[in-house]
Amino acid sequence: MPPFSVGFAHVQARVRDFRHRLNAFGAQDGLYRGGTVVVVAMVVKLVVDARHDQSSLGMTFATLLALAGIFAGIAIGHRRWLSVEEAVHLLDRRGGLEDRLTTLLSHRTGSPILKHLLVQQLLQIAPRWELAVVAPRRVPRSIFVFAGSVLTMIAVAYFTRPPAIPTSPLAALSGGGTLQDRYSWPDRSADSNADGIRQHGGSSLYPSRTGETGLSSGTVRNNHGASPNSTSQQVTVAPQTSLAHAPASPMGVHSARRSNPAGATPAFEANGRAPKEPTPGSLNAHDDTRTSTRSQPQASKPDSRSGSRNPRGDTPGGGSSSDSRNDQPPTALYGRTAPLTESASPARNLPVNLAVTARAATGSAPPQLPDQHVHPIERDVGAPSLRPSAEHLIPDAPIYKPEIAPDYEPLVRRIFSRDDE
Amino acid sequence: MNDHAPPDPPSPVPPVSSPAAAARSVARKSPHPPESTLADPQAAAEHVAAFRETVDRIRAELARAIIGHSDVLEQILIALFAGGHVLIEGVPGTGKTLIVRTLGQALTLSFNRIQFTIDLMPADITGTRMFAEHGDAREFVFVRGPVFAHVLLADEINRATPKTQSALLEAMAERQVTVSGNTYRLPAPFFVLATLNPIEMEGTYPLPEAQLDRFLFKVFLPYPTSDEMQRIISTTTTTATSDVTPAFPPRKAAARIEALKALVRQVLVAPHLEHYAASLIRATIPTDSKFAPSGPSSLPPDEMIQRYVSFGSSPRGGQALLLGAKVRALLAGRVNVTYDDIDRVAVPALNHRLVLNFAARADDVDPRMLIQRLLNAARRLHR
Repeated sequence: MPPFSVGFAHVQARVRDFRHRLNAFGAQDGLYRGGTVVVVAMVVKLVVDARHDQSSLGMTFATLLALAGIFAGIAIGHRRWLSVEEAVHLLDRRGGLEDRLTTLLSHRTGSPILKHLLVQQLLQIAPRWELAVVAPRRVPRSIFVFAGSVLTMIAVAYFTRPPAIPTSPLAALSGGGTLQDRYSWPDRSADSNADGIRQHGGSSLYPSRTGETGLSSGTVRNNHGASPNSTSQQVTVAPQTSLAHAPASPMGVHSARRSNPAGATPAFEANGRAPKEPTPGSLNAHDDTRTSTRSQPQASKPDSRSGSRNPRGDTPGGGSSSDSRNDQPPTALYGRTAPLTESASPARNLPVNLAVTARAATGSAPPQLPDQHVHPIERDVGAPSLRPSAEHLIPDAPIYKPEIAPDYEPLVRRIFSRDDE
Repeated sequence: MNDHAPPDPPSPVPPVSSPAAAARSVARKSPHPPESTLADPQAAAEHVAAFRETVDRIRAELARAIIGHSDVLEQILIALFAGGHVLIEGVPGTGKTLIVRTLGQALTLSFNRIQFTIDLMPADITGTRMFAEHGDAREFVFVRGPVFAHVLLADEINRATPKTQSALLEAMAERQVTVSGNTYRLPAPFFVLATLNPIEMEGTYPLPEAQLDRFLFKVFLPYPTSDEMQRIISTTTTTATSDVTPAFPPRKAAARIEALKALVRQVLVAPHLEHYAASLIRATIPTDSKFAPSGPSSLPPDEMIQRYVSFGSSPRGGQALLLGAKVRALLAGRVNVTYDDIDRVAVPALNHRLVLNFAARADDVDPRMLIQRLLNAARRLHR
């Protein structure tokens, strides 16, 4: 057993600390470098997701990049990992110890006569190889690259995020949020838009031709079914409805509307007529309206993901596209945003939204939509030239039999039964 | 032949019966410092400091008599404390004899000079048995030759015949002399400084390689610079004489020097430095030599070594490297060897061990240049 020496133990401790610090530094460097590559892979994945690129090339590339980052981090850490001999030699060189530590390491097991003198000399020049001198505590520069990549990922995730979809249209009517929030609903597919209009009793607000007013259909939809020419009072009345506590499912929406004694829907009857008690017939009329509306080429941009839609709209109940999804969460009912048409671009929505918001705030009326006294459905029906072309534009889709939960089946049958037949 | 009387007149030396017994006798009487004192860091530090102080004092005394040649003086002192011998090559009149004589005076050691000539016989070096009468008794007694001294100057050693030159082989390597079947131990320390005259080579006998290999260093004594020349002619043409102060008390000098030589052997060498020295030696051996060692070399074969060298260095070259490096480490106050220590002694330790071929002589290739190339190539081994 080699003789124990306090000085030798001190040298050993310092070498151990030096090695630990350098190895930690190398591990951090490997972590940050590998992490940077992994974050870049995540950015690639975000971009691929944002572009709806269903091809596996992008995902494969992102996966391989992430794996490469992990392996690169491990390899860098392994390459920079110092053994005891390497650490001693590096400490010798950095501290200008003239191979004293290396020599001492090679003779640590034996008992050479001058070993103690060598230890003493090392301790005499200890300030030369202080840990703070030869290996100051610092973080690897790669942390900046890593931080930059993380910021890039956050930015990419922010700009490529899907539009904020409310959990329920009624949640937006419950008064929460600002006017701007309420006036800037996300764009939706034509079917879900029609569903929303039907649910809010605002089918009269559904524009037949967006090109007539220069406003996009999304703009009208952003009014939550409220007429654009409705006053600010109407805008403020709408949040006072008790529908906020209605179930979030579509079935729940209908049941809530039917059980609403206060008749909150008059707020959406923007044509100045007295609100009527909704009847199944009227709802069916809305369904018919939805059917006819969907056949319009402007309003019925087919969503590729809503394959359960009946292109002819003559299925029993007429609302199979929405009813078939009643077991899904409400956010899924609206699906993804339909591809924006030129008229529905956010850039064109923004002035109207701002105008509506400003007028609502000042108490003045929002901008007027032309031809507002004519029911858009009636107007569309009165334009038969559009219907055949719409029929041709909508591709044939398989007819899905709606799957209705047993609890809701009587309700659905009651709602969608055609009383007038 | 023996132009400098030793301090104490030689007395008949009792012969040692066998070489093994002689070795035991040497070991028993070796004045090495006790290891217990070196194990104490404070005592070891004092020994190291004393070593530096002694060498610095000797160097200073030599510098009083010898102008210039500081590198040569340092190499000679390194060889002295490493326990080796030095071959000095230089033109006449450059102070070779003066250096050796001044060294003997500074060390307070016995000093003999042998002027090698073509008719010099081995017995003239080692000594001979002579018939002597002591009263009524008549017997042969061994009369020691000039080799029995601490410091021996073999002047112009290449002028003697190989038979006479080889008489020094045993004395230099074994530090003993065998005459008429009897072995006589040489005094310790025993330090041979031989000189070579590079001119007037006619009628000379170049030293055989085996004898060259026994010299630890071969140093070259160049002409002094103009400043040194001016100082030489100004100080040696007056009545003033340079008195050399002995570095040790007269009776303790030998033991003191042996103790310092023992300290040199205790200097630590890391394995990677031993590997470095071995790689240097290996690189001096041409790969196409039939004596080339097998196995890979740490250094790539040097083109000029392959072209101009017939035989590379022997393992004695490696020993010379490490011993010289150890002395240099002690002179620097260290107890461990560094790369720089080995590099600094590589040229004097190896240049006389490379046997150059005819092409090298035709191209006037200097072995020192080849070694310098090796050192430059070996720097990549410095970790």
